Amino acid sequence: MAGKAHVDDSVIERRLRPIYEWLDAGNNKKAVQEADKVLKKQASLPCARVLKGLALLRLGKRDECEGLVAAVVKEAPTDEATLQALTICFRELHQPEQICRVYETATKKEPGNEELLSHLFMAYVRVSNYRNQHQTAMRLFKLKPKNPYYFWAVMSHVMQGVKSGDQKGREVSLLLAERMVNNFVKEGKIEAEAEVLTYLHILETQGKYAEALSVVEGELGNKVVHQPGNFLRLKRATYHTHLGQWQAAADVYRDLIKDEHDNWQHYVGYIRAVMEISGRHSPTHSLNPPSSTGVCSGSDNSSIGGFGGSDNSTGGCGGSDKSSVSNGGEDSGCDTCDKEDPVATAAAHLAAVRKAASTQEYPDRGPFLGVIHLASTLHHHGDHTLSDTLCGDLMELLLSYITSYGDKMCCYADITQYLPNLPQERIAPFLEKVEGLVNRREDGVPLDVKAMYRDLCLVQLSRALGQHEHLSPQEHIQLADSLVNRYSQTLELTSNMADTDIRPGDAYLLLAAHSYLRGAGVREGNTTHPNPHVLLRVAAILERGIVVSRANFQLKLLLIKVYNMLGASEISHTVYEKCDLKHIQLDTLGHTLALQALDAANYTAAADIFSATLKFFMANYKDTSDPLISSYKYGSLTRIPEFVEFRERLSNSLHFATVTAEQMLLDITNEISSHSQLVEAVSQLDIDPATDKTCWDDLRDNRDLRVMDTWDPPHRQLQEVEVNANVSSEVSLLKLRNLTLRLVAAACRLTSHSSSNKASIRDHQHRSSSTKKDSNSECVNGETCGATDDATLLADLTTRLHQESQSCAQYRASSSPQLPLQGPDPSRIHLYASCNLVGVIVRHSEVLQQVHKSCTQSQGVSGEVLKAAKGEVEAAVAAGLAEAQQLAVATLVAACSKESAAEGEATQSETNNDNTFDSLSSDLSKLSLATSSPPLPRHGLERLHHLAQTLGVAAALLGCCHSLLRPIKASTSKKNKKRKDPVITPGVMTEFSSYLTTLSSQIHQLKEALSTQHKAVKAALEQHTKEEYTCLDLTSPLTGPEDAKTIGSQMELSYLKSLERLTASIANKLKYISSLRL
Amino acid sequence: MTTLRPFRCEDMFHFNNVNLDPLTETYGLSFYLQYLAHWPEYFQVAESPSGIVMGYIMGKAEGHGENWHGHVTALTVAPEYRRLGLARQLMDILEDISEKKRCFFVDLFVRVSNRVAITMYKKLGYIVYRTVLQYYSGDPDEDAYDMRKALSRDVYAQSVVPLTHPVRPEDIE
Ligand SMILES: CC(C)(COP(=O)(O)OP(=O)(O)OC[C@H]1O[C@@H](n2cnc3c(N)ncnc32)[C@H](O)[C@@H]1OP(=O)(O)O)[C@@H](O)C(=O)NCCC(=O)NCCS
Repeated sequence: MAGKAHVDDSVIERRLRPIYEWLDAGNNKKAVQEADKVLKKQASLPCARVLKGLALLRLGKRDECEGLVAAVVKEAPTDEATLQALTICFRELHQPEQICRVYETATKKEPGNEELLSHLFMAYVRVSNYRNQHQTAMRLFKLKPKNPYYFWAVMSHVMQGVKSGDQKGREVSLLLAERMVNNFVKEGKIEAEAEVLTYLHILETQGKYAEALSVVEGELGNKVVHQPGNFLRLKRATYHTHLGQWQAAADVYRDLIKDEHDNWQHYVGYIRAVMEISGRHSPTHSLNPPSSTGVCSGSDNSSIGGFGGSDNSTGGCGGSDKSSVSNGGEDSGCDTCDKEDPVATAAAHLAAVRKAASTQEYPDRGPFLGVIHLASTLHHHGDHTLSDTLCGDLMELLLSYITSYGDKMCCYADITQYLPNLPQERIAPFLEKVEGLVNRREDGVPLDVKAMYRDLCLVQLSRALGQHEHLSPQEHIQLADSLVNRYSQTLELTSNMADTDIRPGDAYLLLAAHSYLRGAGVREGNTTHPNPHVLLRVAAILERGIVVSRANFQLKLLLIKVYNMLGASEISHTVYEKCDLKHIQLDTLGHTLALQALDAANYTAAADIFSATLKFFMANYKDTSDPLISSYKYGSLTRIPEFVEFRERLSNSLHFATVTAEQMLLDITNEISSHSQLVEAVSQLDIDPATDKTCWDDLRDNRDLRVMDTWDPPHRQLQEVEVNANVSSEVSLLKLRNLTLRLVAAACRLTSHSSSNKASIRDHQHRSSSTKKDSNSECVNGETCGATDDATLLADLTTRLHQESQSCAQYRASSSPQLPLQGPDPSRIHLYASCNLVGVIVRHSEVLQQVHKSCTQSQGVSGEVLKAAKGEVEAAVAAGLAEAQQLAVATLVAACSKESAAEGEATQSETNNDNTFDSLSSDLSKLSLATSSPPLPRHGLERLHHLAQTLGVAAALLGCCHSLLRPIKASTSKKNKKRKDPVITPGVMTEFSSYLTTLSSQIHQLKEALSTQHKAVKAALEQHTKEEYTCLDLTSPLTGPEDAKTIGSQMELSYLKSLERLTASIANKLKYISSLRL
Repeated sequence: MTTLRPFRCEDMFHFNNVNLDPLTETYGLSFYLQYLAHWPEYFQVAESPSGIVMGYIMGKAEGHGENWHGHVTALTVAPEYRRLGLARQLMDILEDISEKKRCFFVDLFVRVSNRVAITMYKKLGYIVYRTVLQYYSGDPDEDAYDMRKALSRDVYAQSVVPLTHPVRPEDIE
């Protein structure tokens, strides 16, 4: 018997194998065929049925899959293969709960099966059912008393606590977890390192640092063997810090510095502890050093976004510092009065470390910077003299640092946070001395690569210390010219570098680009009209830089930004693709290009980026579940809360929510040209008009706003308030979007109910009177109930949308601020709100409500409502028309011609003063800065895009009106006029029709205007191509006519495509609205 | 002058200044998370005083018998922090952990065109053990060097006797 069963198993396995293989290979059709083959031999084989279901699911046949799977589930299988197959199926069906059910049943049948129970546990992990996790783990432990099972139970308590909404529940769960471990400790049962780490984690989470300290100092500490060597000491130091035991903390850190003198965290901890001992309490509760104010250079562990949730750093540092400050008294108090100032001891100690390090062949930077950090911290506390006596003069310290490390790329980043402590009057002498460190040729060009780094460091320091703040726009441009020149002159010094490496000289180009943009008026309040000619030149220069240094992403990110400013999103997209953004970068760097492409009517690029982005976010749940299970398996239990937190941060991403909404709006507006298409599109989307599932308070700003280089002085860098304001404006726009989507969904629901009711009314009229009663009551119930609710819902959403747009009034008045270059692009709501397009949507929704009322309650439609809608939409389309006519697309290149540059020179000649920089003045410095520059096409394109989308929404609402009115029109024309059915005054019909006629003709004009523009751009493109863009002057030490040709033609092509898509989109609206004739 | 510490999930929110380098691959979430779950000690990050990710290393231990070895899955340093010995420090950690785990050797794959990395690994004592043909898919596919360094447990350095013939990706165990 046993023998036979065994044979059977292996036969089955052999039969199933090809199915698995086809599935793995992604050939689902073959997998189905193979499964059918197996099932012919053995019809009931559950695993084969499930695998067939899986293949069908992957072929898009969800229903068939569910049928097969449900039947197998009923049979309560317990064999591994079938259960695994079911698990995969339910995962792909997004029904993880079902996996729990299946294993619950299986374990009931075989309660002693350890394997099954552990699968059940993992199933609960998948759905975060911590309570059941705990129970199952304990069952496992009773079955097989293995430590891991016990700790699965412990960790389940922890998670229950951490995720518990109320404080009490949290405390209780954590306490329970702690007790469980305590019992184990008492019984001497702790075995593995992971168990000790879990214990520490539990104590840290509860802020029980004294207990944690005794764990690492006791027997259990010896179990920690796989961690980095400094692990236990670092833990001790952190715990002492939390407990305000500053002397003890300082001692541990000092030892750590002795052993690892280049590990920076030791210095930070040490200096902080020493300051506390001496009674100089740190004003902030951060473990980080005081630093400059800019968000991007700052010492922020916290997330930049405004949503508060700060990243918790290791060991749960954070919260409880306040109490520790007061506890600190025990250490500090009298230490300071009779003994030497602990700061002096520390200074001596750090000096010794530095001295020892300086004898190395390649001295590490840590010991040098340690001294600077102490000096700077003292200055920060106002102890200027003490700092000077103990550590030496700060300027001299910085200078000697630059002397040693100025030839490294990182020198500037190392010391930037200490610059604000340099007194104003020392800046000039400081920079003079730094200049003295640069080895130059006679013509001023750096002699070698090392000198280049020093030269760059000098320029960067000058900028950061405010030396470029007082330049005129002209001088900015001249400075930029000289930097580009420097780049060209030094290029040959690095010609032997591997082409996968980034050229050091690229930083000249970045610095130059920043100066050009500053000179062009980006960020000078002149937000709407930075000089396009300068933007084009910057683009040309950056493009050149990328050709040489194709790995340099700084150049690419800045270039995307410049093209975005120009509204040339086709080229932005080309550069974007060179960055090869993937996975999580689609969230953190989604702000570089996604919505910009949409707004510039680059719908193809937008759809590409959106689809990749949404795919990433949708997979997040699955992608994080399996590792969560692995954490239990491999005992890395302390990772579990981290993974869960990470998953939530992603699913609450503001970018995710925004892209989701924009994609849906795109789906229901862009290519829709008839009402049936609209209804179909809306039904495809998962919009619940009654509820918005967004957790507004939990939204997270996951953008990485630190990635782009900047050397601006702190006050010019991206500030936290700016980021917060930007986030709240994005949130406001998202609210408008979500409401708009729900409104359209509600409108569709309203009319689909009504039209099906109409259908049943008609049905009912056809039927004989015998069944009249039943069917009548049925249909009346359906109509009144459903429709009344839907109508209220629509009314409610309309009011909400109106209110929400009122609260956006602040955005209407102002144009959106251009943030510093490393920040996000200007927020979109200003422009959207200023077009007053929400009003168009609200008015059309009101029309729909009236029409609906008149259909259901025999009320007439008030002409006022239609008139209001008409007024609103007329104004919007007229504005769009003006916009379309003014689009300075075809003339942009001409406006950047040589002649206009010369004109600028004339007006600017008097500012041609001596420049401190050896400017080999190029043509670029003759740019016309004072003359009013042509408006950038970007805003025009964006407005037109918003208008097109709004017309799409209006068309949808009118389409809903139409589907209400059409059956009535049909019946009134056919039947006699004495019927008691809702009577609509023919006036409404005519008014509606005439409204549509006016609207159509207006949209038609808009379309014509766009076509005219399109033709003009096309003509310009052809003309310019023939002339090889000789009219566009992009000459610089690095660029010439070739660049004008590429950039000029790419730009015009980009605009051409944008116009093409806008025209197509408007044409769709026209077709849609024209089809609504009654 | 760095803080070396275990990599955490949230580092992924700002590791772009490292990962945007074309030679550094950005993987799907589950890839990083599986490493964190399975080999947490092998995934270390170097952080600058201002909290910038300077670089990181990601690795694992695998193999049976005398093939039990440490593997470097990813090693990368942000451009402005290169040539400061950071990669060397990160490799030291990985080798140290591999020693503790009693591995016989450490290995890694590198694009044959990645001159800088190959030079560096050679400098750190690695040899080209074999060439793996078309290991990196792309346009066109690219070969990889499988580089190795023996650890103390491999007393006679048997793991680092180079193969004379290249192998195909499906032939590497
Ligand atoms: C390869 C890489 C990790 C090196 O990082 P790093 O921190 O600069 O390397 P280190 O400073 O520790 O260098 C150690 C030694 O390697 C050699 N080396 C490193 N970079 C070099 C270069 N560009 N040219 C020549 N030798 C180099 C040197 O001998 C150096 O020692 P030395 O400076 O004392 O002479 C880094 O260039 C990088 O991130 N590249 C992109 C990603 C990548 O290619 N990863 C490897 C994939 S397998």
